[in-house]
Amino acid sequence: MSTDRRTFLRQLLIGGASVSTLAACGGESTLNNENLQLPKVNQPTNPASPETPGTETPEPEKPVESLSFIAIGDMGTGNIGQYRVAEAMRQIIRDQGCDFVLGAGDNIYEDGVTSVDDNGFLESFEYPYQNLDVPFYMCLGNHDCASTIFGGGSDNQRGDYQVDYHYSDQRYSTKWHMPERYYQQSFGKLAEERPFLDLFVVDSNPLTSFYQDYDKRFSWKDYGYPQQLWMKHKVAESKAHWKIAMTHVPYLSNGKHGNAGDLDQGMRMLFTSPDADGLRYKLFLEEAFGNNVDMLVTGHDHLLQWLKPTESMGPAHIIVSGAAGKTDKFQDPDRNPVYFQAENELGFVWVNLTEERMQVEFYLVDESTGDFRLAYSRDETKPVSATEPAPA
Amino acid sequence: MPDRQIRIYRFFEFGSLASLMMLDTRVVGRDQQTNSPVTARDRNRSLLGDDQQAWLFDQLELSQSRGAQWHLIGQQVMLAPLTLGGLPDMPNLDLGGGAQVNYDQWDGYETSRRALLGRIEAMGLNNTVVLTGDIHSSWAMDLSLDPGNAFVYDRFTGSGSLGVEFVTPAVTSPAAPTKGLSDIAKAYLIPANPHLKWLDLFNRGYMVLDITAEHCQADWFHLETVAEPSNQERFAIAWFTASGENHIQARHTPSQPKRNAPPLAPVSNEPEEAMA
Repeated sequence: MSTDRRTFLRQLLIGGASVSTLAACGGESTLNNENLQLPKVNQPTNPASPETPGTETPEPEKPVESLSFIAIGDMGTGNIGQYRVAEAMRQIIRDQGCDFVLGAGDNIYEDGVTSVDDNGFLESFEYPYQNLDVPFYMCLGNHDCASTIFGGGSDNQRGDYQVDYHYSDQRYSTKWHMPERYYQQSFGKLAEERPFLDLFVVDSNPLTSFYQDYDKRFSWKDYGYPQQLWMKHKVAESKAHWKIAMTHVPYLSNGKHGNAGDLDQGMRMLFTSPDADGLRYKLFLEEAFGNNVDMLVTGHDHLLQWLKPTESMGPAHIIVSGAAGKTDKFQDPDRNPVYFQAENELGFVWVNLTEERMQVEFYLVDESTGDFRLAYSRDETKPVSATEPAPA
Repeated sequence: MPDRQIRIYRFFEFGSLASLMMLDTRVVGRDQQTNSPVTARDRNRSLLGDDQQAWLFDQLELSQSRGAQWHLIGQQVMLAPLTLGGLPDMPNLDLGGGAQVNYDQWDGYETSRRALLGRIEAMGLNNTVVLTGDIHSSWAMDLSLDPGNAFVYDRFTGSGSLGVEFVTPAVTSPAAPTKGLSDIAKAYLIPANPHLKWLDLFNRGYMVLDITAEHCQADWFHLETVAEPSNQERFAIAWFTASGENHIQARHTPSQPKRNAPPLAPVSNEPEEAMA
C-alpha cells in the first residue's frame, strides 16, 4: 500500500469525519439510511468535513482497495495493561496503518457507566487511547450492562449511556462510535452502491446475561428477537464485499466462557437467567451470520484465539480478542480447533483486508515492560466467495 | 436401516387461516434414543437435526409474517413433558422438570424442546397448535417452557402457556388393556403434570380439528370396539383454544359440521372408474 493511499484512507476514515465523509463519497452509511440523527460532531462545522473547501478533500471516484483495522476486547480497566496495549497499538498503527479499531465489549469495567458524563469514559477509554487518532467502533459487553462488579449483565439500561456518549457534544474526543446498541456500519466503497466492508455489531448481553434483567424492554420477545430479525435482514441485504460481525459473547471459545449453547459450564449453576447457556444466542448468530459473513469478532474470554471455521457457521473465521485489558487462562485448549491461541498475555489483533485476501496478525504485549511481539501471522483468501455484482 | 436422506418435512398454506408444518421427528435428524435423564439434557443431542430445525424456524417466521391465524405443527412424538411429578426446570443446573418417563418423545431431547418453545416465546407467536400421534392415546395439553414452575405457568388459568398440543389416539393399535388402568393413570398424571388437562389411554378412535378465525378445537371420537366390525362411535370431549389465548379449555359439544362441506367420496366397487 502506497503512502499516498494510506494518507487518503486515513483522511477518509479517521475521527469524527468518517460518517459524513463517507456519505459525501457515495459510500453507504447506515446512519443516513436509517434517518438517524448524526453525531453533532459530524455536522459541517467540523473543519475536516468535506463541505469545507480545502486541499484535503479526497477524490470521490477513487475506490477503496484495502482496509486495515485492529480488534480489541475486554479492555476498559483503566490500568497499566490497557495503556501498554494502547502504546503497542499506536506503534503498529504508525508502522502498518489502521483505519479503525473494533472494540468487542467490556469497554468500561467493572460495571459500566451511570451517566453520559461518567468519569469511566475518560479513565477507561479517552485517556488510555488518547495517542490513537482512529475511530473506535464499540460493542456492548456484559460489564457495560452490569450493576455489580461481577458483570452479571442484569442492568442493560446502563448500556444506553454508551450510546448517548456517541452523540454527546461534551465528549473528550470524537473517537467513540456506538450509534445504537446494535448497528451496521459501512466502510469504503468498492463500486457504485457497494461498500468495501459492512460491519454488523450485536448487543449480546440481553441475550445471554448471567442474571435476569427484569426490565421488559430487554426481554427476548421485545429486544432479542427483533434484534435477530433486524440483523438477519441487514446482513442478507448488504451488498458489501466484506462482511464482518462483532459481538461480545463468543460463538466458540476455549476459555472459561466457552461455546454458545453451553456457555459458562463451570459457573452456570450460580446464574439465574435461563438463557445463560446461550442456546438461543447460538441460533441467533448462526441464522444471522452463517455462510454470510467472512469474520466473526468476539471478546468475553480474556484470551486471543483464531478458531477454525465450523460447519454450523460456514466459512467465517472466528476471532476471540479479549485480552486488551485483562488476561485469563484456557479452560480447555482443545475444545475447538484453532490456528492460533494465547493465554495469560495481553494483546490485540491487526487485520488487513484487500479485495481477495485477509492478513491477520496477533500481537502479544508484556504488561510489565510494554514490549510487544508479533506472535502469529497468517494470510488467507477471502472466506466467503465474492458474489457477482449486479449488472448495471 | 432407514434412508436418512428422504425428506418428508414440508409446509402447507391454507390461505390466511392456517399454516401447517409437518415434521420428521423419527428419521432425518434424530439422535439415538436414550433412557438416561442426563443424556436427555445433552446439549449436543437433537430431535430434528440442525437443518430441519432451521427450516422450521424459517417457516414459523414466514407464517407469522404472512399473517396466518393459526400455526399448526404436525409431528410424531409428544412435545409437552410427561412426568411423574412436575418440578421447576433449572437449565443452568441441567436438572429439574420432574421425573420424566418417556424419552422417546421430546422429553429425551430437552435442548430441541427448549429451542422450539424458546423460539415461539421470543417471536411472541400466538396460536401455535401442535398435533401429535404415535402414543396410542388421547391427550390435551398446554405448552410451557417450564410447566412445573408456578412463576412461569399457572395451571388454573393457563397463563404463561405458549401454545397447545392435541394428541390423537390410535385407530386400532393396542392401548391400555383396561379402562380401569387408564382411569388410574389419569387420576395420577393430571395432578402431577400441571399443563396436562385431559387424557384417555384406553379408547381407540380419531380426532377432528375445527379451525376457524375464532378458535381451534379438537373433538375426540372414541369407538366402542375395534375387535370386530362396528360403526358405533361416541363423542368423548372437545378441547379448544380461543384465538390469542394460547391455552386450552374444555367444551362438551363437538363442532358443528361444515355447512358447505364437499360431498364425501363415493363408495366405489368399480376400480376401473377411478382409473378413468
